[in-house]
Formats: sequence, C-alpha cells, structure tokens
Amino acid sequence: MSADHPLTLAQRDDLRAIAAMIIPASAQFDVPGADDPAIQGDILSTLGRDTSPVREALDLLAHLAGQPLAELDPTRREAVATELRAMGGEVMAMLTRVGSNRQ
Amino acid sequence: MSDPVDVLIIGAGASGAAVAWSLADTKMHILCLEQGGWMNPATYPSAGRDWEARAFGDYSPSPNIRARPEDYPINDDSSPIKVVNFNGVGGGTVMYTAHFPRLHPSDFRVRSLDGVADDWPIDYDMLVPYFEENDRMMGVSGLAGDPGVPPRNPPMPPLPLGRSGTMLAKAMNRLGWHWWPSDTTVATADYEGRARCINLGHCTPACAQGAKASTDITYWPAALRAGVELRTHCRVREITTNEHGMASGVAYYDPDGKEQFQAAHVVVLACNGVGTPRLLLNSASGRFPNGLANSSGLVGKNLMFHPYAQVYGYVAQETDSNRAPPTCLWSKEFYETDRSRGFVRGYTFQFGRGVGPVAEAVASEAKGLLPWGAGHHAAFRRLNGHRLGLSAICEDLPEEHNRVTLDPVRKDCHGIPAPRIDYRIGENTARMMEHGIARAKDILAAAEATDICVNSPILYGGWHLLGTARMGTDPDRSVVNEWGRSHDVKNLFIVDGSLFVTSGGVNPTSTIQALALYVADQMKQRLTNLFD
Repeated sequence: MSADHPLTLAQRDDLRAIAAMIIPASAQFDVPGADDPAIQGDILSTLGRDTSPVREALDLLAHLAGQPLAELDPTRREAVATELRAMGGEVMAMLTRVGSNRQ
Repeated sequence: MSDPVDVLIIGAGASGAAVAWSLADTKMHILCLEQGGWMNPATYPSAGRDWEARAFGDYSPSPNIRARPEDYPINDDSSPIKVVNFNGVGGGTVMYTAHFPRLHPSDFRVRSLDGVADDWPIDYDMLVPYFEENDRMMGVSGLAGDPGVPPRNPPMPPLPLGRSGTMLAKAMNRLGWHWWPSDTTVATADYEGRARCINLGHCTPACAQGAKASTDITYWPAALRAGVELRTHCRVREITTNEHGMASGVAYYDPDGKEQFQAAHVVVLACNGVGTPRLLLNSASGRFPNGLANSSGLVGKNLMFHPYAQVYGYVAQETDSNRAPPTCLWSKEFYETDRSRGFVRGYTFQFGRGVGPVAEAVASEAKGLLPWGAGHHAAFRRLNGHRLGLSAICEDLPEEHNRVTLDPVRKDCHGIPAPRIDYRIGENTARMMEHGIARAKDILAAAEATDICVNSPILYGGWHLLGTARMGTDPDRSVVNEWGRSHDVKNLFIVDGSLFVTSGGVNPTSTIQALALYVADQMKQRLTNLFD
C-alpha cells in the first residue's frame, strides 16, 4: 500500500483474481473481463470511501484461502470463492458492487 | 442574548418550508434553523457516471451510511426496517421518489370504521384546500378522474406510462384490478421556473435537472423572497423554556460549532418523525423532566414506518429500468378494509419502472440469479433492463412499543444524544404484507414475468417517519391539539409527520405538507389569542 495505491500489491492481485472469477472476458459478447488493466485501474482510482471495507473483504478472502488467492490453482480458487459466496452478506455485496459499477 | 424572533422554525424540509412560506404573509420575523446546507445540484449523483455507486455511499438514503457532517447517527439495530432520511435544505424531498398520493378520507376514521387505533381530530375535507395549495406549490403531475381516490386536479399532465407502466397496466387489466397513472412531483411541463423532466432517470437520490420538486427549489425561493430568514448548518440542541412553562427559544450550534441562543416567541418543530421526538426528549429540564411537551408520555411512541413488501420479476421485453422517474402507476384495489382478507385497513401498490445495472447486479447476485464466470454475461443481459416490479405500501397501525428514545451511547458530531429506534412489525401489518406479496405475484404472473423475487420488508425502507407526536383533542392521548399546538407548551407547534394519528397506506409527503399548511393557517387565524 502506498499513497498511489490504496491496496497492497497482494490485495491488488487478489482483487484482480476475484474480479476475473466474477466477470471473465467474453469473446461471445466481445467484452473484457473485470480483471482488465484499465478496469482495475479505474476501480482502484475510485475506491474512495469503499477502500476500507474492500480491504476487509480482501483480507477475509486471503484468510479463507490460507494464502493470497491469486497464488492458488484454479480448483482451489473456485472452492474459496464458493465458500465466500455462501457467506454472503456485506462482504459479497461490496465486492459485487465494486466490480459491477464498471459493467 | 439575541433579539427574539416572532417564529422560529426548526428544519427546512418538506413541512418546514411549507409552514415558513405560509406564515410569511403575516410579515412576522420568521427564522428557520437547518442543520444541513443548501444543495448543489451540479454535485448530485445523476450528474455523473458513478451515480449508482454513490447511492451506496455519500448519497445513501441511510444517514448511518451516508454519514455527512449534516447527518446524525440513528441506532436502528432493534428494527427490521432501517431509517432513511436526508438532512439539508429540502430535507427528505431532495431524496424521495416523488410519488405523491394523499391519505384517503377513510384514513382519518379508522376507529369509527374498523375499530382499531384512533380517529384523527380532523378529516380529509378539512385538508382539501391545503392539498390543492400544496399541489400548486410543489407542482404535481397526474391525471384527474381516478375512481380510486377523491377528485383532484393535478396542474400538469401525468408522466408517460412508458414500457414498464404499459406492461403492468395490461397485467392489471387482465386481472380486472384498479390502476391509475401516479401523481408525482416530477414536472412534465415547464412549471414555475422548472423545466420538464428529460428522463435523466435515477432521480430518487436527488434530481440534478430540477424537474423533481424538492422544497429547496419550490417553497424556499418563495419564502425567502417574502422575507423569511434561513440559517443553514445550524443544529438545534434543545428548546429552552421560561418560568411560565413557555418555550423561550433554542440553544443551537452555529456553522463554526459555537453554541448560540436564539430567543423566539413561537417555536415550530419540523424535524420529521424521528428528529422531532429526539429534540423534544433532548429538551428535558427540571420543569419538564420527561422531555418537552411530554405530559402524555407519548413523545416518541407509536412510530409508524409503512413496511414495504416488494416483489419483482423479469420479462422478455425491455423495460424502462433506470431511464425514467422510478414510479409510474398506483393501484388502490386493496386499499380499503375487506375483513375477508384477514386484516383491517390496506395498502397501495406502487409500481416501478426498474433499476440500473449496478443495483441489478448486486441484487441478482444476492438472490442467486446472477452466476459468476462463464454464464455471467448472458445471465446479466437477460436480467438487466428487464425487471418489472411493485411494492405494497402497507398501513402500519400505531403501537406504543414502536418508539423513538434517546440512545445512551451514540451522539452526533456536536455531542447531542442520537435517537434509538425500537420497532417490530405488527400482526395485522404482517398479514397485510403476505396478502400484498401474493397479489403482486398474481400481477407479475399476468405480466408473464419469471424469476420472482421478494424483499419484505425492504430493509432500508424506513422512508416514512410518522406518529411520534400525534395530534388529538385529549391531552392524555396526544402530544399536540387538533391544530398542531402542544397541549403542554402553548407556544410550541409541530408540523411534520410526527403528527399522524394513523399512517394510511400511501407515501405521506403530500399529506405532511398539507398538514403544515393547515397548521400555519390555524395559527394565522388565531394570532390575537394564539396562546390561550
């Protein structure tokens, strides 16, 4: 985390990983995924008052993963995401909203 | 020590603006203190591309989420419905759907008609001139001739039905149930300096164009021209009293946070159904140990919200979604009592046009309709812009255990104790909500909608704050008399939703403002013996 980046490098990697799982790129619809660098840059630059809850959500994600989500293999990553979705609540709403605002 | 003003109004929202404007023709020195500031429409969410995200942040309807300096926290942990409001010049009218029905004549006589709650000390006919005056001042669009409500003549034509309204109206026709284009305060023609709506859409979190009537652009300019003084960013801590048991003025914090005293001959509370009891309870003193104007013990009690039962689904055709004002129709089919339904009183159906893409994504993810991964895009395209929905606005009966008190811990930024809400949905209302959900599903089925979802109650649906300083003729059973004056403090008046004896089953702003104009008129007729 620095003045230029509201999230740590690991948090940014995990945000990119979870964003790609929620909204992947689609050739069928000719749209980029939510892990697209331009979209990620926009998310980070406009987090504003959401920064703190997004950090908390990403920390929870890393806790469930036992290590940075981005470093897990796809199968394990999917299992962690399923666990997170089952928890629902504010954390899920936050991650969905931050990603969906760029739909 | 300041020079006393003739009338000091606390709150510049729906009712405070109306009463200020009406009293201005007395040429008295009228001062309004407002804890928020003037709004700048250029900064409203609808002026930017991130408008939906801001509705979850600095333009959330919840003061606890919004947390602007102008807001005060509300402990609503003990309520299934969270309080929503807005603090600033215009108050809740800055952030409302602009749906503008009136209470029905039967709403004033529920004890006589249905044996529940209490009758009001006034009736619908007494308010008609004030409803009409308010319709002109706010600028109401609608269609005369609705057989479901008493005659009225909105000064502007109704909003177009649009795609969503047309589908819903056809569904209602298939069922043979009443519907009518809603009355709204969205301008459909150029009106008193306001341009007609150009469908910026998403106008609930404030209208950047100014087509939606909020009192900062309707009543206040007229009141200021007539000589009313409005001081913003001034938060009242308490109403003070003198040795005669009369209100002597208020202690408040100025924009610099310094405590000030303003003397007044008359004090008018216009702080809504949570803010008004909070201030009265915070004004407890040796003379009034249980709070000001509270000899009945009813200040803060009988809080009514209107629990909303929201039902929606998805149709194959495109709907209006966020591309228009949010409401389009109402139905009074289930408004009046029919005991065969298992409850008394009833509800209005308020039909919506749909929601924007972020709201759709967040809600659909939570409901399990929107998958992650490969199926996401196709599912989102099927859902987004295809929502059709409606809400039953259910009459909430007054129950004393539903109440506003002072929180022992939470305080606002000036150290003033925050309100605490204790509320639960009553049995009659719960049965009404179940009925509303079942009928709404019938309607959506008739519209061939699928993937039906229910939100009951709407969690952040405490828009309507009513009943916490009710009017009545009996000082043991009411806080103010039949023209809004405190039974206990003869120069203290209340003009906001706190006055409501019962809630009806409609959005209350039209009736709140008509009541404010009525109370102002009663005051003007009694200027020579106002305190007798």
